[in-house]
Amino acid sequence: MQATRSTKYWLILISVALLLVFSVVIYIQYHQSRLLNSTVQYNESNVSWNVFQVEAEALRFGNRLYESLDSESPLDIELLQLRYDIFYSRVDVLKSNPAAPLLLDERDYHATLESIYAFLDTVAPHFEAGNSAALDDASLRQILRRLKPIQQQLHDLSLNSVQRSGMHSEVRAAEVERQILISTALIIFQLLLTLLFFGIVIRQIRQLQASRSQFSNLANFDPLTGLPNRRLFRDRLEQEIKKAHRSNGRLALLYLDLDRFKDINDTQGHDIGDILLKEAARRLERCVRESDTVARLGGDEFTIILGDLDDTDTVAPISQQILRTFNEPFQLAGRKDYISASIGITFYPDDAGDVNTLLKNADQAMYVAKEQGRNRFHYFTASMQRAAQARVELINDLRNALKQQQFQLLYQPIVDSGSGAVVKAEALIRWHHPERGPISPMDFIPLAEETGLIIDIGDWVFREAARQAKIWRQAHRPDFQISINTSPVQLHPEGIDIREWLEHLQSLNLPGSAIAIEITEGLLMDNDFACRLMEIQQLGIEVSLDDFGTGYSSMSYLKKFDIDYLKIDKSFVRNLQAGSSDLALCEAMIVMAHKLDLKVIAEGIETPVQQALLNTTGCDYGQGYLFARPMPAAAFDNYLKTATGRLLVH
Amino acid sequence: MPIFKCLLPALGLTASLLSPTSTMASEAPTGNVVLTVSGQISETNMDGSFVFDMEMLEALPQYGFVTNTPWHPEAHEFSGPLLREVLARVGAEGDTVQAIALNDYKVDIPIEDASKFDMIIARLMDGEPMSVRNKGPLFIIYPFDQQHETQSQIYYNRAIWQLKAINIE
Repeated sequence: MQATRSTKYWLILISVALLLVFSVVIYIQYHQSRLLNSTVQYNESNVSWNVFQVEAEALRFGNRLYESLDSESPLDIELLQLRYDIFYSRVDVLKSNPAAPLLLDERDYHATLESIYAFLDTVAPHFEAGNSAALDDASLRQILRRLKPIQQQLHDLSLNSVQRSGMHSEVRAAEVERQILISTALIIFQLLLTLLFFGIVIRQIRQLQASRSQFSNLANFDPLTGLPNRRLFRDRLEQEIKKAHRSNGRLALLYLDLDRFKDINDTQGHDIGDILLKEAARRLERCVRESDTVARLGGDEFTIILGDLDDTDTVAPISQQILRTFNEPFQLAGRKDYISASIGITFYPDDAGDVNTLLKNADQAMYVAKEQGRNRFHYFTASMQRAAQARVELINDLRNALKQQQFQLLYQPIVDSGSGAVVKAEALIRWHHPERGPISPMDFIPLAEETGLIIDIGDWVFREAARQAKIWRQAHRPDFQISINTSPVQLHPEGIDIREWLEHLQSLNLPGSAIAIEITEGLLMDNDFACRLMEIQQLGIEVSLDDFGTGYSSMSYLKKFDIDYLKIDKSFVRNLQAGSSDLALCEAMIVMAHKLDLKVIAEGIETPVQQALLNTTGCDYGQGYLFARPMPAAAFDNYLKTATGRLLVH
Repeated sequence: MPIFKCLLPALGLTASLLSPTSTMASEAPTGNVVLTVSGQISETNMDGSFVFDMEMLEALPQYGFVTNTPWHPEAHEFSGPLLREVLARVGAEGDTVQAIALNDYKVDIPIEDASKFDMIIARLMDGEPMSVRNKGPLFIIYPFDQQHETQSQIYYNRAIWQLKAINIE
């Protein structure tokens, strides 16, 4: 407001200045036009002429007087009077020329006029019509004597005027030039003032627009969290519905309410409540894609629009992610506080087709989540709720699976290419669900990772593999090694308990080299994982890089992390033929690995041809159905015996 | 601003055309001669010239206006016969009017000026006769304020005072 007022004063000031400058410019132009006025010019150009004429008439008058002296004839008084009058009128003309005092030496000019008039007045009695005083020779001579200095004065003045006329036009030109300069400067100043004026006006308009857009911000956004408000949310939801309708897509509406928020607000004050809301908004925004909308409807109620959904399954992980981020404590005015959220989920077009019904659905679902004990999400649709529940049940079953020993390790032999001896095995986990039967690792490992159960499962795999390695080292060959798959989650700082692994190895009196862990190369790029990996290597456990060739395949990582084995992905082996590019790739990988002092294991060998080709490239180990499928430990035991037999026969 | 205008010049012109040797043509001045017209004229009244006294000029149709001039600090009313009336009176036939002042100052006035402008040979200023001292007795004046194109140095120079003679060329 203050700014607007000062701007107003500025504008008034500039306007007044502009008016002033305008006036001055107009005055100067008027002045210039006056200088160029014909009367003025005429007068100015005539000054010299006027002086000359006075001088000439003085001379004529004088001549007439002389003639009268010399003449034998009687005095022609009328002619003398006429000459006197003409002389007089000429002096008047000079006197009445306003330019004369300006263009002539003013003092000389006035002095000359004064003495001429003095002369004319003194001799006047002789030349007045009718009653002229007698003119004898003596008085004629006296008049002539008096006229002489005046003629001299007039002569000087005339010379002076001629000299000055040149000077005057110079001065006049200089003056015009100066005035043009002043006018130009003023016009430029005027221009600048005008620009300034418009500049200020434009700035003012911008400010007005800015404040207007700020106003529209207020109308569309929640000032506390900066999230879209109810109005904008409805707008966005309508847009998303239209978009989904056009593309036959699907969107999810999540209705989120903070649990016990009212308690915190009441007991700790609104300021704390506001901090909590802001932080909650921040966390919610982090959980969704940029294209999704998180809005605050008011109080502690938030909504989330998840657009462009391929299927309904993707919503559960996001919801879980949200619940997890709320599990982190909130820093409220210096102390930690825990607050959870309840989420209701509904889908367009599955559950409803319009904004209001979707909102109602999600709200209802959210209440169900609250009723069921908070800190959870609930679907509006029964079938989806069932699917979600089944997932929860599966997770629960997974939790019990370890205790109830439903997991089993299968072993697939890894054969030394040179000798054909079975020197290693890869351990593969299976889950025998009491009701559902065998469940693929592809289905339960992600759940295990999501819930963190993978740590326990991983530890079990390690212990089981170590136990088995001990047995086969004693029964089969002392350097027998079992490789186990590891999940990235296990390599988190809170993943594998290295001490426990070490203790287990020690209790079995087993060197670390009896175990190899298989990791994917992507892990190596994360520094945290890399550190963890080195700790594991310190136990003597070897590291095998799984699926090599399908990812980044960065040589520098191989060198940096002392990797022991490289497993060529089965996609390369599958199409192996003499002269094929895959063979060239395998060869290249093997050569490179050997240079870096790594051993190579080829996966997925199914035919003798593939094996033969790999042997020619110098591949160290082979694994695949050609040798054996994964099998339980007992079967593997038998396999080992017959294989040894085969080898002996061979 | 009294304007003296009547039908007389038209009648006089017609009369002069019809009978060049009418009594009017040979009318001689009775008072002092104030203006002598010579040169290419068809009417004469003295030695091949036509001379006017004040009375004869006064007898011509009178015309007047108030105007500013470069020689007077304020506007004055000037009156006298129109130049073209005077020229008609003497039957002027040339292109140029050479006007001569008492001090022998001369100026050429194109004869069209007389028809283009209502210029007069002023006898009176503010209703009073003009003395020699006051640029009289006759003063050719253009209607500067009435016909603005005359406000220029060309016409200022042609406005001759103390007029004593006109020579038609």
